[in-house]
Amino acid sequence: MNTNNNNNCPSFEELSAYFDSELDQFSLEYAHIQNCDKCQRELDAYTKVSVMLKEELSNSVPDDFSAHMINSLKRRRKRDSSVDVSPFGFFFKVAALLVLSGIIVVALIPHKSNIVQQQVSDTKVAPLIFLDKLTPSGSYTHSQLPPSRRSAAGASDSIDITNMMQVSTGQMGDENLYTSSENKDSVAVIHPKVKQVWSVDSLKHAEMQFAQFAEVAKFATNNSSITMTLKLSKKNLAQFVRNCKEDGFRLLSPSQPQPEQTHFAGNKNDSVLYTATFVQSE
Amino acid sequence: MTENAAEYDKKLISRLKLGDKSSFDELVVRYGAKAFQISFGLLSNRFDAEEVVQDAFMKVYTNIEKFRGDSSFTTWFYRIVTNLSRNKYHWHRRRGRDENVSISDNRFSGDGVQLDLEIPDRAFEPDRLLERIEAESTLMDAIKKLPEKFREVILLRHIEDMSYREIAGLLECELGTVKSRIARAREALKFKFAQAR
Ligand SMILES: [Zn+2]
Repeated sequence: MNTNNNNNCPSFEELSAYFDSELDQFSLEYAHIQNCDKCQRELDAYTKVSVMLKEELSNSVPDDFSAHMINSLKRRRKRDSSVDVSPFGFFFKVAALLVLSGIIVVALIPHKSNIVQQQVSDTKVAPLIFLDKLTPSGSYTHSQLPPSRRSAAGASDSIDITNMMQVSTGQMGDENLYTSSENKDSVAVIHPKVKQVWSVDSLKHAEMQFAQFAEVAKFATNNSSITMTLKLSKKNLAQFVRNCKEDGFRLLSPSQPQPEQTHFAGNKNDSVLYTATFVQSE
Repeated sequence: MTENAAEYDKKLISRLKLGDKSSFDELVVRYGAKAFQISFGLLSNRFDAEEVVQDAFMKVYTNIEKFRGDSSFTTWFYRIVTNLSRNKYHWHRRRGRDENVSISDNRFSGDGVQLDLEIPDRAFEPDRLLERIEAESTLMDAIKKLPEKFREVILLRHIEDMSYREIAGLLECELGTVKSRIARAREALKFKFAQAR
């Protein structure tokens, strides 16, 4: 490249147009830019901005965005085509809320959790075990995850599912879920910051899950989703995730803790910054 | 936007017009995330951005019969996204200042209605833009500080790789205006980036 540093560099507008391939190739400016170090350095800076901008924006897209959007839109199309006019609707909802909140309050009282688990489901729930100083034995690959949890398995939310088995559960529809084997070696890592997305039948129901936590840091809601952030111990988070599943919520994100996972590395009292988004399912 | 992508969009739309709902879902998968990025870039708020994308797709769904394909689907769709984001942005801003303004204030909702910045354009010459964003910490913060019109062009250019002509068509403004706004926004962001490093 010729070194052609002079004061005849074109304006930043021309340079920017060149950068976007919008400058006339036969113009004098075009020829100048191609052969000027100073202009080339400017272009490098534009490239950096461009890369960084794209990166930051694509990182801003929520986990499983498309899937949630499709669901929300289906719901909305249904809602738009049928309006609920039942005079009992409101009272029914209030009654349902009261019943459900009773169940959840009991479910979150630790020493009574066994009784509640029997009420809610007959399936045996393996106890949660935290193993100090245990290093996980491997890491997941994207293809190991079910599609609904695949896109959320970004670099920031890495999980360990090496020893988890894929099982088909009749109750949860045709969706395959991952569960831990009974093997004690299947240890997962809960990261200090965890983000998860849940699909729920009723946002009200999800809202009640939050009501248990006085220390919810952030609480954002709209028609189709609710998001909260809170700090809690690894043990309580693992329990929270299981309670959610027992309530029929469906976890879409791959990050640990997963409700089926029973063995975790680290101290159960370590705190985790947990962000959960609950989206209304169809 | 490549030729193939545009052709494929056309197929999806004609299938949608025939009642094939799955082609609507396919459009959501193709353009939802990018629409979110544009709206998030404009509004700096996830929930607002998500709502905008949802509303935009609902508009596509209910108005698909009216879409004749004179412009590309993306131009039509991102125009809806941009306009809905503008509505929200101005609604929030006005609501902060004046509680009486209602959402039915439609000044900004018409297709391609151009907004006049309340501050004269020369306040956004690069060096002045710098003053506005100097105190910010990240590139996204810097984006947030750009005036709306600058944010729109730079986002459309970067996220959807739209040509200046496409952007001008979408925003219904002059080609030269697009060129100048992109350049000024870029200069401001470049400076911010250099500072951050
Ligand atoms: Zn030069």
